[in-house]
Amino acid sequence: MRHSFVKKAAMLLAGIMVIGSLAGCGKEQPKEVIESTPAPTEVEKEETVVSEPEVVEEPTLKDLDWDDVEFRVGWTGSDVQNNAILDVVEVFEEDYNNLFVTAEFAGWSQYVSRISTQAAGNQLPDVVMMDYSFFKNYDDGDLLLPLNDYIESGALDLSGVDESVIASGTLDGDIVAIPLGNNVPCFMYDPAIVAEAGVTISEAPTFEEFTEVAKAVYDKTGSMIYPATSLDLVARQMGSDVYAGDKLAVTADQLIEYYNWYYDAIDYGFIPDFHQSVNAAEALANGGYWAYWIWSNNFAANQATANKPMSLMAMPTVEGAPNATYFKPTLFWSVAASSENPDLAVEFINYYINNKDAWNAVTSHYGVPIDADAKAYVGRAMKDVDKQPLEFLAWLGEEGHTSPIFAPTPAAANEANKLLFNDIRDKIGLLEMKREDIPAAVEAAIKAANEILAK
Amino acid sequence: MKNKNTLPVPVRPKHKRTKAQIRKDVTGYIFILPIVINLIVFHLYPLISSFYLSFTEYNIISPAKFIGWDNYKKMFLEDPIIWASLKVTFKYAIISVPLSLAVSLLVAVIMTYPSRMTNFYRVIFYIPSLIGGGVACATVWKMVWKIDGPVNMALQSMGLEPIRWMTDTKLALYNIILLGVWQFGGQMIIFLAALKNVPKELLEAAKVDGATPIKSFFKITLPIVTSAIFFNLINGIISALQQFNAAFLVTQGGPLNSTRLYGLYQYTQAFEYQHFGYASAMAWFLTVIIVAMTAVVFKSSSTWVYYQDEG
Repeated sequence: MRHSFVKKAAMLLAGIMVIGSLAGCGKEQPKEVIESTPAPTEVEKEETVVSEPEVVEEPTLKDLDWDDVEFRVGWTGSDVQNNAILDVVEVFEEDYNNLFVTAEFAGWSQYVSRISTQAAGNQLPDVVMMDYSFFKNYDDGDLLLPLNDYIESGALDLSGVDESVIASGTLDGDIVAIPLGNNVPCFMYDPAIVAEAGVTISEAPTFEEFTEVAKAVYDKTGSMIYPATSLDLVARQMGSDVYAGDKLAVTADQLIEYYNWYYDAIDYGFIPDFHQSVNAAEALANGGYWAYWIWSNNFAANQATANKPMSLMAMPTVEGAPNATYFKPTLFWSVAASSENPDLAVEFINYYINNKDAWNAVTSHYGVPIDADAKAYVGRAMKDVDKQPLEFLAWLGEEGHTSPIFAPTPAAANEANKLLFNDIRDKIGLLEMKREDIPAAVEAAIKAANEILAK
Repeated sequence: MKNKNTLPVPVRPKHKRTKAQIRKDVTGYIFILPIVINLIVFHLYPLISSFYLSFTEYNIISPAKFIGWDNYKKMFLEDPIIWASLKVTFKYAIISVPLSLAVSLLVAVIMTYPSRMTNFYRVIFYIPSLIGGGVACATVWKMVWKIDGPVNMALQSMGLEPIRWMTDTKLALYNIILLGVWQFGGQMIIFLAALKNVPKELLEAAKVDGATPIKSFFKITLPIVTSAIFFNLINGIISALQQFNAAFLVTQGGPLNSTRLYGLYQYTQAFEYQHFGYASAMAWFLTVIIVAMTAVVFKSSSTWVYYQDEG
């Protein structure tokens, strides 16, 4: 008797396990909260039939019950930035009944590989953060929802945003990405160390001037610089974009000139070689670095690490070339085409751009806000340190120290960049490349890069 | 005439499964169903789809595009980095596998000498394998071997020059190998179990006959544990050729690609260059290599492996 009971129980349990594992989670739409309006009685109905028809109010999103609805927001950032958006999420949740937003955030490289994997499984978060360097790929794969209709109807209020900013997230007429803020690549520098060395540097220096000052500062104080770490910026400092469409635009001479400069800088000493393994945070604080390349939206966080007053200067450009500095949308918010709750997703983006609580939480951590009111509010409310990047960007725009951003890069850019930049720069940095070998190395890299781009 | 010697052939009833028998079978199937589903969904299906993907161009955002043998052609004819990374991986395997076997066997043998601390040592030596090749482990590893880390500070206190463990192109791979060998605990446990099977009488007899400990190790102990060596060798080869964690977390393939293991290059192709089809082709190429090597080891095993139950 017991034997067969145990068998029955075991079969039942196994069956439940199987069915449970196969069931998966069902995604539900928000249930309607039943508003208790009394049903019209027969008598009333007859009266109203004669007069105007009953106006049925469309339930807004805030009337719905969001319990058990899966709503995900994915983003990337440093700790400071992640906490800022978490604050936004928390305040956003309060406006909606029982809404729980699943926050998915990660550091940059982890985030990029994670969302590409999610995209493959059609599992992108409802609101997903995009970057200029790859949002075109996602749009090509039809993974992003065009937001034109929402903007026209006012559900996504971009009335305070400049046309050119909206254009940066537009591909083939479809507005698929909304910038979080405006950003520039720039150098954060310590004016005290510069003064100590007895030199001055303009806030939009030429490359030659920058080099002279770096040498002088190193001679007098031993302080070094942390240069730009991507090929886009290196090429622009030398006067050219890396790519024009699907082909290389930067020339061998420009790259050779940069690598010669880089070699000489390491030789001179104002750029540390890789064997020195300098700890960036320590060097910022103790004056090991006097000039440090950053994205302007990270100014506040980095200045906190340095723990002393810092200034901003534009990217140095070689004499006579178009300005290396450019306005870049820090990052974008997009809505996944596969989202089951696109209306709420658009609401979230709308909230981020137009709501005061969101402005308070994020301030300038993701760049200068794109909405004019936000910019003014943040400008008034922020600490001076947070205002610096805003004023800097405004100054750059007014004085014309920028040139347009480059077009989205081809798909093979990652591979080509590794050959053109990382491999050569690492070799020089590890002191394994002789100066006279640089031209040959650059020529070989360009040839290989062209082959990759041609495919 | 009926032959008295032939027994009547029993008429076998057609095998009719009783209801009870069927119930038994179904119960069994239901019990193994979860694990079978797991095997099919998480092992068989990815295996088959990766084989299919190896014939496609797939950047994960758009659907896969069938391109036939192009990935394999590119691998064998147009990509020098594959061979460079295979060279690094083989160098890694050839050094780390024997070294790991030797170290774990040595430690296991030392632990057969009974002492009060044996259990304690057993745990201590096993802990690195428990920690695994995780991110925390790699971060601390990097801190320890930095140019101004504890190891170099110790060297300096002895009056020696600090060594560029992780930034010297000639040394970085050995640093990674060390990280791999450091996690010898699993192999050590296998050897400890195998060493228990060495008959004490043989060793005592040898001692009585005047054999030194070293001689008795090589002539008696070692031949008897060859089955454990065989097991650890096969597993060691398979995991060494697939090694990824150490290269990715500690050196990212640097400096100057001197630690760019095959697994790391696969990751680069897949996640940095968005060539998932090519990375799948690389995976199958490695599979063929591993299968070939293990087949060779298996074939040779009949000559050098001793199994106790063969007498």
